[in-house]
Amino acid sequence: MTEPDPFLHRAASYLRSVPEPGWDAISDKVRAAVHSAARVGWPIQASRDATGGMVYISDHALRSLLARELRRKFVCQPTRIAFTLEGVVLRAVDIDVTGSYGTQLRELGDDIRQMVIEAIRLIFDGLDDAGSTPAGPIDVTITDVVDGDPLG
Amino acid sequence: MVRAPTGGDLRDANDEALRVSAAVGDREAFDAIVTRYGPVLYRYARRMLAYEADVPDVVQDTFVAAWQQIGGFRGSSSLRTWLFAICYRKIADTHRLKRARPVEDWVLEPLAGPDTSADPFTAASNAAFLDALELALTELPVRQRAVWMMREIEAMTFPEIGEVLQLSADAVRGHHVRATKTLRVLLRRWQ
Repeated sequence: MTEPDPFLHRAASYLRSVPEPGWDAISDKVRAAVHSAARVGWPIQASRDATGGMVYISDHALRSLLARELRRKFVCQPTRIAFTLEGVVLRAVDIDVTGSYGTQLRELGDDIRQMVIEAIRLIFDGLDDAGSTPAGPIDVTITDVVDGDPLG
Repeated sequence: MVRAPTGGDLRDANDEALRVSAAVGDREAFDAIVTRYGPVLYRYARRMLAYEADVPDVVQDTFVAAWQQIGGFRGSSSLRTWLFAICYRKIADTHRLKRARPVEDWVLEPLAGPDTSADPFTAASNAAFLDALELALTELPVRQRAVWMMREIEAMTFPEIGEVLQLSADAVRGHHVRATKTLRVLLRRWQ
């Protein structure tokens, strides 16, 4: 067992508090590299442009968009967002979330479903008034309920 | 409607919440991870690598790899341990580790001579003390240095460090004991 050493303990605290200007200088470049990093994904047919060409969105981009909107709008944390595809056509969306005690879970599920419909409506052609996408069902499952904000 | 009171602000989110959100695909959650652990991994890589010019690449490669892999990371270890393990592999891949380098005793001495009443942590002497401390760390063998930094600077547990370095907790403890003894000797004039 190592004896606690107050001097070295203070030295470590000191090292912890020393600024890292090198990080400050590269942080934007690192974030840009992460954002442009290639990830294997699937294209999803979103709409047709004015010239008749197809516009696609990657499943990663759509997932990121929905995750961000859910987190910003509701007291919940999405833990899974899955798409059912038929080729490049979106057929269904499945979302699992962790909710919070005290929340009306049925209302939360309905609100999430409505938000997903609205978000997808902005991107995809061909939604009908009932919210069916070329897609079809949007299923929301509350898989866990925790005290307070699930984001901690 | 059940509205989020904080608008989903991630600054105070705990590591596990950030991991889950980033794993789902929330890019802003991963940005929050980069913000939180960027300085931490940078200072770790800086003290492990022989050339400071290699540090930005290693840290960037670490985060890019983490972003590409986080969907498959189920939280079997803490987010911090997982990031350190990726960083350690990236450092090893460079083959440019800062090897232990003996320094002359006088380099580590306080400039004004041994004054036991002087506190090396005060502003007057802390720049020289910081230099001496950094030099003392370069004298440690690579694993001892890595262990001491993760334990003392990052407050990681021995099992967590073992996961990063692929060592048993007992082996990590042994490295820590030897590193502490060496640093005590090297910095004795400052105590």
